[in-house]
Amino acid sequence: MRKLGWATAIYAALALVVGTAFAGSKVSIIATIDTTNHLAYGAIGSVRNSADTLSSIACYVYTPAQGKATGLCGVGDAQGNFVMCSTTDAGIIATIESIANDSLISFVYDATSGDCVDVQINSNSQFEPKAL
Amino acid sequence: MRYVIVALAALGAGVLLGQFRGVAPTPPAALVTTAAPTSPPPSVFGLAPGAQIDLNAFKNEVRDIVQKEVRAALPPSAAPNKLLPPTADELQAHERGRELVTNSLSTHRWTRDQGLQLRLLMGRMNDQQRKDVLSALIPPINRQEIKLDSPGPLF
Repeated sequence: MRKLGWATAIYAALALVVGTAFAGSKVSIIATIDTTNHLAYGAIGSVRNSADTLSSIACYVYTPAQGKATGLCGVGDAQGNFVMCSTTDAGIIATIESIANDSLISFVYDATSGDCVDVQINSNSQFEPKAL
Repeated sequence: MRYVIVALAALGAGVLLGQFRGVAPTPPAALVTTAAPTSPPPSVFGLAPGAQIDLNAFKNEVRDIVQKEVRAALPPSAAPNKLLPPTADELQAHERGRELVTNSLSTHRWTRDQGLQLRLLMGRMNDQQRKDVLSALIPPINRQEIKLDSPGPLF
């Protein structure tokens, strides 16, 4: 009986620890396109975990053998809309290169040129990781 | 030092070009031989003896090589793309890239195959040409006038 009491206490303590590990503020930021403000954003994990099959978010950098590198970012939403921007600005490209696995990506694009006006990368404990 | 190397490279290319146009200076006497060759002269630039050379293509190739070497030797602050005209290869790649964009505007689609073609062309364009093609392609995508056929990179 005494052994059972200890086992119960250990399980209770474990449950408390596990429960604590999953606590904390969480947020899901799906792929979003604001055509009025030419703003697009989404958290990589949330977009990946979206129930639809259209949502996507990505940034990448193309570096030619000669000349400037070009950075590109794009967001596709659940409705099938897609927007993107490109840049050769070294500062913006450095920001793009800092993207982590589950970062939030946000950018403003110039409607006339397609240039990236700005790019924001945010790594945050509140963002969900990518599931399979 | 870099400029000296570039100048020598340009001079060498000029002399080479001049030889093909028949206006090169007479070589030093020590290098002249009057003996009849016992065998065909060695091929130049990989050409078989007696083969015809496309002079225009050769001139374009030499010009491209010299321009690329000059660009590589100039410091980034010299903005070489603004100093030198595009090479024939850059012009061709840019034209082909613009054609891809024009086609996608008429089909309202951007296929993976078009992306792969542009991927290869981009490496042959200069900075301004790359920007020009992307500026022609991205705004219609953002207006949803061109739909991407498949997920993944644009090019």
